Amino acid sequence: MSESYAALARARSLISVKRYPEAMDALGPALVDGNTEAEAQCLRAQALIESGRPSDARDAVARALELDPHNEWPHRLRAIVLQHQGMHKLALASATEAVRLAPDEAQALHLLAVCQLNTRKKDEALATAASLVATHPHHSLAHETAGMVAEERGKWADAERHFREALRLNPQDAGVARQLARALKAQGKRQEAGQVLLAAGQMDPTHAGTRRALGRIGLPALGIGGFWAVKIGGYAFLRTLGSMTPATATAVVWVVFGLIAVVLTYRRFAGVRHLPDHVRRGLHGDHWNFALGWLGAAGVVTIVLALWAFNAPPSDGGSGWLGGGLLLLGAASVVLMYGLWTGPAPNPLPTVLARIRRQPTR
Amino acid sequence: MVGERIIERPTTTRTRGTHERRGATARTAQPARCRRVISAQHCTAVLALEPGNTEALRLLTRATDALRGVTPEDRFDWGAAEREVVGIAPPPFVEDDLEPEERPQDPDVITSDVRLDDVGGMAEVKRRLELAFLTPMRNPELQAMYGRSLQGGLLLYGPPGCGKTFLARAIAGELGARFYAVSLADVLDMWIGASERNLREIFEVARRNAPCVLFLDEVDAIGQKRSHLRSNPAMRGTVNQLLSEMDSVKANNTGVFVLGATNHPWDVDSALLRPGRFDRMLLVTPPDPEARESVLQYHLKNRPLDSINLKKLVASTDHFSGADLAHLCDTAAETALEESARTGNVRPIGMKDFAEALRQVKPSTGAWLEDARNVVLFANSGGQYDDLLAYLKQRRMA
Repeated sequence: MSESYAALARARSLISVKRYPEAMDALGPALVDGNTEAEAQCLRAQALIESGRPSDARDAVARALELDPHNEWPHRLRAIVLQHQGMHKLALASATEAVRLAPDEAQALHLLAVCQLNTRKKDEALATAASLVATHPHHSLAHETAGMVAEERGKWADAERHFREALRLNPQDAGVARQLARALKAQGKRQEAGQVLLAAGQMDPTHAGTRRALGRIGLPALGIGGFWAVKIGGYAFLRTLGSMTPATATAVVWVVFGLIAVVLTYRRFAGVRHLPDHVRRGLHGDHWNFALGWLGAAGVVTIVLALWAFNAPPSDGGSGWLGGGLLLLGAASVVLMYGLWTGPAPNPLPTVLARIRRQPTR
Repeated sequence: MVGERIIERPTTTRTRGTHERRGATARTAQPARCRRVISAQHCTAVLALEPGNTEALRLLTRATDALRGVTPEDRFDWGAAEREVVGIAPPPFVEDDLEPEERPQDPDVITSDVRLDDVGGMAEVKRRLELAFLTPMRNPELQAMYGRSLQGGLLLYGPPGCGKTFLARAIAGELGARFYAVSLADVLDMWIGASERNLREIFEVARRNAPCVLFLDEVDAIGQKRSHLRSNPAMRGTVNQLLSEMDSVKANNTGVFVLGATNHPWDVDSALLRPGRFDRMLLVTPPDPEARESVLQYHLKNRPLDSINLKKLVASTDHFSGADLAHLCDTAAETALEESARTGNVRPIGMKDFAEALRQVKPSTGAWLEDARNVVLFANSGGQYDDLLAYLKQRRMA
């Protein structure tokens, strides 16, 4: 076996033990050999995607496609890269091509269903998932796909059934366990969802999403109705703001934020009471952080209202003293939040910016 | 001479008979001796079939005594014969009675001259290391008295770049043992079964060089959870081999101390963490202020400096790993060098360069600590991460 094939084998082993930089280094000889370059580029792209750098994998995928356009793997990798970049329609085209080249490949069909869901083609995704389950009834990925499609269509009981079957086939899949927990929570089975999340945490303890979901297990699912209620409430507040003085608006903000914080924090504490002691205690910090988040948010809104108080005429309730007081209150709330926070310091700015700067969906 | 040693060291009746048989064949002019040899052989055969046959035992004793009485001039000079054929025929057996110090050493096995005192700061880590590992290992009599074996494993874990490898060298130095560092590249092989063979050979080398500290870097790769390796049966075999080598009924690991280092102890197969293998775990935290000062001093020596306030630097590098500190010093030096090249005036590294470097270099331990925070929540039911939990609580991370 030549050096280039040995490099491929070595890179595969390194990828399987999550040593991505070493795997990319090991691929060197395979990348310069015409016989192995296409596969080496695919492995390089895989390593980059799995190490959380999907954008950097784009060139590797393009080169692999150029070298071996009739192979399913580079098309599938391209679809994954495009999906990470938010180009869902292009991702769907690549996933479709991958399935055309390998119609029985479970991973290609799974990816196709995911791309169809991302482009809101739910009926087509349902057909893909059904075909996947029919061709691979003993593959956990097939049932996971069917569960995802059912979840997207709001069929929670079906989703639960499929996720349970997927977990039966692959009991160590933490991702499926998290999805099952979501389906259970949506059906109001919070206690069971908590136990499933706990199991998911034990399978993959580093996943931050499990901790977050477990902390929120007691919170009501917002749903579409809840989302609109929050939106309408915010709009109504802004509409009535004109008839209020800065002091009244501040009072309203603090009462509303305070009530929400108290009720939801209580629900968070109550939601985890059935969990083991050490987990419950570990989540206490997260619950208090949640409450502190509301305090910080109220502080930020108060600072905005303080600016209004500075600028408003005295007839509308504006005054320098009031503005100064509100500014002090707002700043004190934010400082208190940061001071009492446990865990990684909150940094909401990147999240907000990421939401504002949406990726193009071509 | 090797051949002489074989002749002069009769160990069993059977060997003695074999040697004498060779002598009888060589010297056909000695019929009486031949007869004694043959009778000794017959007696040995009878005793093999009937161990309780006293007559055969008596005859064998007589024949052996008679053979011992052969005068030196009658004895065939094996040494001279061997000298004649030296270079033509290789010696049949080689026995190693050299002292361990004289034994030819494996090139990868080194003698560590690093001591714990050479590790700057990290007082808490050193204290726990001394209590949990070094004191028992330095007192073999006590271990024997309490029925503990002279073998064991210690898993060092912590954020990357915090000196686990250096600490492992220091442990080897403290134990006065040889140090054999093994990385993933030394084990992994493309051929099926070759990784297992490599591991077996690595342990053989360590056993041959006992007392030896065998340091397995990146244990989470070599000994990854087998449930994660469903799609890679070859790696499962490697994990199984490691389990077997660390606690094998076939091999004696006395004097072999296995030290492992990993950034992800939660990815290590639970069978590796059971007693008899890596039965102790030690958290190597990011350097404390004292350690940071030592590390900074080390990286700044031999560099032109101007009014560097080390205390201030130490205070502003909380959560920095040793590798981060090295990077910080390099970045500061790079800034000074760049400006010197641009202006044509060579100037030393100052606090201004460090201020600039601190803007660029951020601690790399943050992501690890966030993972660790989740781990102590979900995977600490057995209390194996209690020290990590205490550290995180001290840092207000949990």
